[in-house]
Amino acid sequence: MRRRAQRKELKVNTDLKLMPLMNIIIALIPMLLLSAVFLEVKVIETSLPRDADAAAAAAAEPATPPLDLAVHVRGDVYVIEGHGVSTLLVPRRGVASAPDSVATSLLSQALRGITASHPGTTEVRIVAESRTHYQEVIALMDVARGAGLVNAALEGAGDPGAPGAAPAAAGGM
Amino acid sequence: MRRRRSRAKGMMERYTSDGGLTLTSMMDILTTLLFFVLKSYVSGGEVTVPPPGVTLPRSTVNADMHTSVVVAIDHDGIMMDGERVATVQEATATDELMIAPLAKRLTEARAQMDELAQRKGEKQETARLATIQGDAGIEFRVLQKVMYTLDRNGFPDIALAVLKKA
Repeated sequence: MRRRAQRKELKVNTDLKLMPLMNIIIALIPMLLLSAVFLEVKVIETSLPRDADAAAAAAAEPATPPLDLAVHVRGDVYVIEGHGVSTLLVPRRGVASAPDSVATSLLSQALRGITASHPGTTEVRIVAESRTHYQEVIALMDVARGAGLVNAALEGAGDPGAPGAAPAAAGGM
Repeated sequence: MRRRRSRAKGMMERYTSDGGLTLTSMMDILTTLLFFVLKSYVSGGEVTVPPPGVTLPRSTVNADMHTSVVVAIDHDGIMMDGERVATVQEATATDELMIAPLAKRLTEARAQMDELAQRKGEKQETARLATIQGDAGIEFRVLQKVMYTLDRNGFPDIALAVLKKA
């Protein structure tokens, strides 16, 4: 009788106590969800040409004239031109926030053709109008990068001779 | 009679529960959720949220952001480190490429950085990095003026912040 009573006393509840853990997790999840950043912000790294670079470029005379490839944004057309490259026109939707899929495909095809025929070319100028949307400029940089032109320079179309209107930025992306 | 009663008692025991919640499955869900949330955190580079009103353009680029001076441009104004320094109207009113109020703030920021570097005994950098968080809909002329102002005030290395395309 006494032994049975002792056995009853020694009985231990082995169930895990999950409630405190649940409380912690329930408090932790909303806190993490509130502070989490789900937007992936990336950057296109660019650097503006320095005076020393310009002087060095002027001093070094290339054996062959540079390609000087440029994509101009003009009204309802994109113009691709460069030395030794026949001028290509790609239709553009008037005031567009970005080139449409057809224009993107045509631009990509044209730029790929040029890089294939001029191996080693990585530079392109994107000459935008003053009212061109920023998204369109970024989209053109993407198209150029996709074609292997990783160094895209931005330039304003209005005043090519003005200080600072020369390549606004040369981006190594 | 006694046997029937004991059988009924056994059945009752089998089909009734003690009324407690089954927490194990819920714990599994919550643990999975916790790991998912922890994994969604940006693990590398600088964590930045664009200011309200600025919708960054989308790009396929994959370079991470670094700590730098941040200049944000929305449809109305130009902000530096979260403070509005000029309006877009002011910036586009003249043909001048330099935006004077922004230039002033950049000069101050640069002086502060130089002083900090001097106190720490570090070498003063000649070219510093600035990040532009421009709204996708801003006009190129505004971007060009901001870039020119950054360059002329000691920030020739410029990073254009974008949202990664899926």
